[in-house]
Amino acid sequence: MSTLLTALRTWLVPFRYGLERWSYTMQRISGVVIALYFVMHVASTGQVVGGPSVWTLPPYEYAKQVWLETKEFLANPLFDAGLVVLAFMIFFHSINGVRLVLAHFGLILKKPTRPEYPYHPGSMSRIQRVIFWVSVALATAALVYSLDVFFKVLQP
Amino acid sequence: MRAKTIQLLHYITGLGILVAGGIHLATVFLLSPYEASMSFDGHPLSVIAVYRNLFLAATLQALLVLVAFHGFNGLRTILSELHQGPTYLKLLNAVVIAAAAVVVVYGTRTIVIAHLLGNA
Amino acid sequence: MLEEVKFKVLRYDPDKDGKKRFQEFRVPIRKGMTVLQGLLHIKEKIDPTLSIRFSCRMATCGSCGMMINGLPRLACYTLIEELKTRTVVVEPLRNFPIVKDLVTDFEEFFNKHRSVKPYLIRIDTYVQEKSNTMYLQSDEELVRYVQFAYCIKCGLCYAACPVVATDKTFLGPQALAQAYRYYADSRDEAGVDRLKPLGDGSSLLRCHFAASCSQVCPKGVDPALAIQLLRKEVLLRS
Repeated sequence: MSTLLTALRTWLVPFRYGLERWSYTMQRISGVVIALYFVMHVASTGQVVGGPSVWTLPPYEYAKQVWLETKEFLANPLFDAGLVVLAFMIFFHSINGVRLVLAHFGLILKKPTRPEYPYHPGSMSRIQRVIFWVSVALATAALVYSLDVFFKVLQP
Repeated sequence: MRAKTIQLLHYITGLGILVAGGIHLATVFLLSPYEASMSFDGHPLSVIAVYRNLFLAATLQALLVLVAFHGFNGLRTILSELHQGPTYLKLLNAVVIAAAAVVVVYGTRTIVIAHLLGNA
Repeated sequence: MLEEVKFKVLRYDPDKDGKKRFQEFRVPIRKGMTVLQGLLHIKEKIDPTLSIRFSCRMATCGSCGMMINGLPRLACYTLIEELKTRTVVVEPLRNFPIVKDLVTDFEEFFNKHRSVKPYLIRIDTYVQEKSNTMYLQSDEELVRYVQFAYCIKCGLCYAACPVVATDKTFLGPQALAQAYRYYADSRDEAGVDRLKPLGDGSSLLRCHFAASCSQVCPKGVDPALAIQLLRKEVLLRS
C-alpha cells in the first residue's frame, strides 16, 4: 500500500523538478489513457460487423443495424469530451515520444563538458525544450480542432 | 526476449504508430467529414468503404498490432515498476501477453470480417 | 542584527518509539549561514539528541544530503536566505531507509555503485599493478567522461529519481553515470562487457529521462546525460 502511495506521489506530482519531470508525468498519464482507450476502441469498432458474438460473415443489414445502434449509444457529449481530451493526449504523446526516442539515442543532447557553476545540464538542451513545447502546441491545436468537430465551437 | 530487444521494439512500434495512426486519423478526420466517416456506407470513406479498401484495412491491421504491443508493453513497464520479484514479473508478463492477444484476435476478426463484408 | 527562522526537522528514533514526527526549533540566523550551520546550532544549543551526518562543510564529501523544503540538497551548500522562506523544513533523503533522524542508510546505494565495477579494467593486469605504469590520455578523451567523474556520491540524484522510488532493481542515476564514466574512459578496456548486464532486466532501461537527477546534482554531473549516452551504447552494441 505504501508503495502505491509513493508511486502516485512520485509519478503524478511533477512540481519543482523542471520541464523533463513534467514531460515524464504527462507521457505516463497520456500513455495509460491512450492504452485504455485503445482497448475500448477495439471493443466498440467490433460492433461494425455485429458485435462480439459474430465470428463468420454476418448479413449486411444486420451488421449495419448493430453499427447504427452503437453509434447512437456513442453519441453522448461525455464520450465526445473524452475524445477531445484524448486528441490532446495522442498528439502530445506522439511528438514528445519522438523527442524521447531521439534523446534515448543521445541525438539531441549536448556533449559532456567540464561543469562550471552555475550548472546547466546538457541533458536539457534547447532543442529538447523546443520539441517539448511544439508537442504541447500541436496537442492544443488538435484539442481545438476536435472541439470544432465534436462541439462546433469554431462555426457561427 | 531481452529487455533491450523489447525496448528497441517499443521505439520501432512507436514510430510505426506515427505512420499508421497518421493515415487512420487522416481518413477519419481530414479526407472526409467526420459524420461521413462514421456512417456505415454510402460515402467514399464510410466505415465499410475503409475496411473494403485493402490498403486501408492493412493499415488498420498494422495499427492494431503496433498499438497493442506498444500500449501493453507500456502498461507492463509501469506495473513492473510498482512491485518487483520473479513471481510477480512472470505473472505480470503472462497476464499482459494474454490481454494483448485477446485484443489483437478480436480486432483482427473485426477487420477481416468487415473487409469480406465490404467485398461481399 | 539577528533574525530568526523556524526549523521543522523530522525526528525518528527506532530505539525510542519508531514514530516519525516533526519538531520545531527557532534558530537565529546571520548572513551567509547554511542549513547545516542551523542544524548544528540546534544540536549544540537546543537539542543534542538530533542526529545528522556531515563532514567537510564545503560540498566535497557528500555526507549531508537531505530534503530541504521538499528538494534533495546538500545542507552545507544551501544558504538559509537563499531559500527565501521563514520556515525551513528538513527531512531525511527520500528513497533511502532512515537510520535515525536525518541520517540515512547508504548500503543499497553503495552496493549498486559497486555493481557497475567503478574502476579501470585492463587486459594487462600485470602491467597495471606496477606503480610506474602511466596511461596517457588526450584532453578530448578526458572531456568525454570527466564531467561524470565529479560525482561525490551524495545520493541527491538517487533521492530525486521517480523510478528508484518504486523500483529497487533499477540501479539509479549515480551508479549508471559511473558505469558510463568508466565505459567512456579511453584507458578502460572492458568495453562491451560493461554493457551486457545492463541490457537485461530493469537495471538501466527503466530510466524514463525525467532528468530530475540532473536538476538536483550539486556538482553539475548531469547523470541523465550519462544514462542516455550509455543507453545508446547498450541498445546498439550490447
